[in-house]
Amino acid sequence: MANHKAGAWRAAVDTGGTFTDGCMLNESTGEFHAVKVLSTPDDPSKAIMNVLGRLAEKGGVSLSGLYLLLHGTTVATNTLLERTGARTALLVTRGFRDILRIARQNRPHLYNFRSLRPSPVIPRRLTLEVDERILPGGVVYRPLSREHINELIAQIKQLKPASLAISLIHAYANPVHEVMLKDALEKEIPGVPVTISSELLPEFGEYERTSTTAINALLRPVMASYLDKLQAGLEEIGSEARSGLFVMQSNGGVISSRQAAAECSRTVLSGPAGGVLAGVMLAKKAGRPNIITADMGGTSTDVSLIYRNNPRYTTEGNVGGFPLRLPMLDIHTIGAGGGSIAYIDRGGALRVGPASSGASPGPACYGLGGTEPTVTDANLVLGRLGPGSRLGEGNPLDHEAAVRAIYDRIAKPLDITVEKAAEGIITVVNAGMSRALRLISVQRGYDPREFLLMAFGGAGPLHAAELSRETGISGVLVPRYPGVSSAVGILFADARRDYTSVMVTPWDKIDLEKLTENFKILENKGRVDFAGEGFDPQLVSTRRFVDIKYTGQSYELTMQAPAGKFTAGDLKLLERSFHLTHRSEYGFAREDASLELVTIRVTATASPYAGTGSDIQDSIPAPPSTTGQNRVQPDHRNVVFTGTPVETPVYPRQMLAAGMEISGPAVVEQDDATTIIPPGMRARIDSLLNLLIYVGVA
Amino acid sequence: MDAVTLEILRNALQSVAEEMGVTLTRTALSPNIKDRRDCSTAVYTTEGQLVAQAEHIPLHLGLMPTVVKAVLARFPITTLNPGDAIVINDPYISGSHLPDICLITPVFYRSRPVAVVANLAHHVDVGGSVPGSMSTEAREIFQEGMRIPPVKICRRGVINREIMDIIASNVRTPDEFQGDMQAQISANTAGDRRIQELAGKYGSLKLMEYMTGIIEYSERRMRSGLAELPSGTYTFEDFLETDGVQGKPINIKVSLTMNGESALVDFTGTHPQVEGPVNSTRGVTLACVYYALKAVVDPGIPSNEGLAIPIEVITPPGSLVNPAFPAAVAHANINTAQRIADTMLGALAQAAPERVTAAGTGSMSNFTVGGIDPSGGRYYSYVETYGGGQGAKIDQDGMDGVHVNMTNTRNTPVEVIELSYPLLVNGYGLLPDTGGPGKFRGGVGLYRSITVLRGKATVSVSTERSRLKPWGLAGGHPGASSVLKIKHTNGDTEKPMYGKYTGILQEGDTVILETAGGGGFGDPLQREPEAVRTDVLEELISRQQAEEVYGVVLTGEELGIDHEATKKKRNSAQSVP
Repeated sequence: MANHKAGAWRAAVDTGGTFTDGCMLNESTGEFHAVKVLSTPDDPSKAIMNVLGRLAEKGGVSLSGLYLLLHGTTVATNTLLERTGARTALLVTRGFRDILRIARQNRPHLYNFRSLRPSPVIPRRLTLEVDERILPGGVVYRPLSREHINELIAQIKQLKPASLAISLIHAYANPVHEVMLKDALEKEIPGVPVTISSELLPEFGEYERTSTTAINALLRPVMASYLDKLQAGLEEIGSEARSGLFVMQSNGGVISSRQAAAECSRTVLSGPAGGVLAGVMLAKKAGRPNIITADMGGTSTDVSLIYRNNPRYTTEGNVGGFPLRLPMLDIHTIGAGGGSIAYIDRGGALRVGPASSGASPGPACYGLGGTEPTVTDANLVLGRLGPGSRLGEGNPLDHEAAVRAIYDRIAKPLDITVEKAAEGIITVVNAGMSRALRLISVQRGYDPREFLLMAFGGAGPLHAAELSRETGISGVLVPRYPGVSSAVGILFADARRDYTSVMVTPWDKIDLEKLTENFKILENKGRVDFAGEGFDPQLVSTRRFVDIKYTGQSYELTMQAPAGKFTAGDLKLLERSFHLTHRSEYGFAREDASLELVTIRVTATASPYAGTGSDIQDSIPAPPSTTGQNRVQPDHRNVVFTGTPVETPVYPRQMLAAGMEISGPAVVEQDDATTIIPPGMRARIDSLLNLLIYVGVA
Repeated sequence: MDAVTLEILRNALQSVAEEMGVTLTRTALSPNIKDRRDCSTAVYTTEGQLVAQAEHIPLHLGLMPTVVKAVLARFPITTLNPGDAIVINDPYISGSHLPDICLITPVFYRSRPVAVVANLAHHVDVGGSVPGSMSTEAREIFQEGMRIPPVKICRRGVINREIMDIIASNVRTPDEFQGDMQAQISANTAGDRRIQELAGKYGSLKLMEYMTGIIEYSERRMRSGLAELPSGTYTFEDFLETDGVQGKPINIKVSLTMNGESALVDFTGTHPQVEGPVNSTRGVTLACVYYALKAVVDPGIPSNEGLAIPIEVITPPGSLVNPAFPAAVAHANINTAQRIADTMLGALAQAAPERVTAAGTGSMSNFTVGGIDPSGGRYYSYVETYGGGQGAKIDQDGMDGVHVNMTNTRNTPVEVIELSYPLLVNGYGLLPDTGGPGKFRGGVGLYRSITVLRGKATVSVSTERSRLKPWGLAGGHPGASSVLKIKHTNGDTEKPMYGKYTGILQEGDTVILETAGGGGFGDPLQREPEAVRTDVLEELISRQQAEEVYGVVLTGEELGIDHEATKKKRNSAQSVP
């Protein structure tokens, strides 16, 4: 992927529930543009084509110049949540047919009898048992016979599945039986894709591994046909991107559409990943390595933590009650957003959410028939949202309706003023979000004072400053395009693939050569896989990690490991950093206790776009008038802060030039978001046109 | 007290309890606490009133409130210092059983006491006659393990090694004990720090005032919820099959009086305390009462002292539900607690059938294997509890193979069992035809079959409902009973009575535990034929049960519903009285 022809451009498109966001970068001029259109849930590719058309228009380039499309999609997530996956059969070891149905044997709610576990993604009638058994360590205890495979094939043919999943006990330690079955099935039942657990997720824990494998198989045909359709669409517009279509994964890297179809479970949580990536990128650019991202939308808020330019990862993801063990960005979601409904409960406390007014009827101020007061209504009543503002492409907001809803449901029963009630709603919803921020920072050993809060999503910048003060975060960063941050993050994403291998070994029995060898096997696999997709293997970079735990514990910590040949000194260093990390994450370390190596991991990354040097730094358009400090003449309106209406300047975001400083109270408005700078705080526009608010906490 | 601050501090204190819980589960050493989460963490007022609790299993709902008050009676908070911590497991003070070790820490802000934090965790072993300290045959508490009265395990932040050593010397798995105790200390330290932060932010007086406000808040919710139930007196009686020593049924009788905004729960008429280890301390009994009422009245009420205030509970001293020292108690948590919950639900079913479930699997079905693994020479102890069928509801089937009522621990993955212990799991699955038939079906039970691969092992298994099946409601049939089988390598199979067994297994011996299904709700002849067909296709019920009990006739390879034959079958079945 060398230098580009003139007019070559790449684009990122992020499909969301309500809006599809896109942005583009002209590789030869460095020009950057962003657009937002309504999503088309029945056929998401329509909105994507619409975005591409608008981007080409804005950028003055032709569609045929689009050489690379990076895509964040909710197809996998929605297919899983709506239970519209393919007819899938599951093969498990004899005696374990109910792995998915029993799950972890617990119920979702302690006291609510009616709260049910979701029914398994693959029913019992499509689950077959295989006569075979492997022991921990990989010893074959009961071999799998040819005759039995043939019997199974006959049974499976009768079930007429569109996809197949295989997950056998201890297959992570020895994949021989899964591979035998896969080979036979692919031969005898052509056209039906086979997902095996030892390839997708070679780690122990049969329920989570089987769940991940089953979900992958279930989504595979759906994802494949979606991507085929998208590719056909690209072909139709004459784009070269038909061979350069990449899909965002939950781990924050993209994969080729071919791999995305085969390993679609890796894309299930790709939605919020783009926002975190934008955070990582801005963290680097702004020279602020520690960032907490908060993406506040209509019904929920996603928060994540970036430390020293690195986001956190987890393998304990869960979608709709189904675990997905694959590495993913550690994003915590809470049910609080602009549409969250406020109410007085029967104990007399003011509560907000998790019930949401949704898009319809929406907050009372939408004027679509909603009568319940929401967070958005409270922001409008307090003047934080402008009376003339419109949300999306809807009607102007109805101030009166917001006042009425808050008065009827909150102010009157509590016998307080509407403003006080509205401030109460904001305080309560901020407390909930602050709790989420504490959970991902303090509870994991990070000091919020060392972080900036990067606020995006429609509602994030409204709450960010007060939220930071509440949580003890020192400042806020509102990016130039808070409404399309996810797409911006995706536009600059690397391609990434993860590899793991279980190597349960007592620390003092580690064979250094074998360890080095095992890492090399995974690293080679990464290079070969990338080469198979047209990447230069020389440009693939790899990183090593090891999961370590105290003997007898079942929680591991993932530590980065050095490259090259392993030495005894490397192990000593790892051991030391494990104890240190354990102390910072859990408050204590047991230096005298023995350690155990559990899993080794390799992450391989490569850049899907050519490094022409053009970068977001150069590509954000300058504001129309790059006037000096404070020369913009703002409008004014009354905004309520701690019970008092204050005459507050309102700045249009596009008028703010680098270097400008603003003193609170102030409001900054742009098409897709409103930022509040409370009294006593100061803000500055940095060279990347980010809006930085200094919260001034101790 | 304003509605906004109330909500904010309630959330803040709940999050303190949850942060403590996260610290405890993530740092504990044994899978029992870390994976199965058999533990709870909580915040109290300086008088020992429960304010906020992160309970992972409902059984701790009644334990956590009683223990702190009892301990503060011995160690008045004014005599304690910052950094002190008190350990205790004596069931006659704490209200639980010996493996549940409690750690209590006073919180000071500017050298004034502002709160108490505490946590409780089920340890793998606390000594006694069998590994896991859960003998089914103990007759006195002394056989159940080491009894720790309230003692200061930390003084001004320094751990008392002598006490740690005394305890560690009396348990089979000292490393696990020390690791888990360390995690318990860390959890309280985390809670202590957070409470001090809140006191700094809101002022200690305001914080303390709102703690009381939060208790009153729960009380208001409980009272207004109770008032929705019809006033009257409702009685119910259910039975344990055995105390593990003798085989006569043991009755639990409750008389529940709903009286507007309050309730009276009277266990008068319940069996006197028994010889075997199934005596339920008053703390365990209270947990079951509060659980049932919270679930039925308002599952969202924050768990604290307030929800108990409107509920008066009479537990006759010396009875099964309030035994006198030194009665053995270990298995009350496993079996008696579940039966008390069933009894409460049976009474509540008369007041509000639309809010309860039929009887569930009726036991936590405890399974303990311990011994020395010849391949490493180390002592191991595998402890697990198994779920079964949930009782059906007025318009919903019971869940299959799930923990019900007083517990909710997660299972240990098969691969982890086999990696950690010299055991082989032959199978772990659901049992068709065990769900109680009804218009809504009870959940089916599950089985686990485990073979000892290496060395000898001591096994202790305890379940219930082996004869007295989980009852159905409104014409629903009972769930199938539990079965316990021990298969010896010489080909003999033992079926221990009443699902209880304590003994030594040889290499190659196999234990198979099948748990009971849940009771059904409503007449099975009224079940939607399509739902019956789905159950047959899923092999959760047999075609035979579909026809004979549900009156649904299926035909052909595709198992289509023969509507004509079904109608006929159902009509003739109905005419039989």
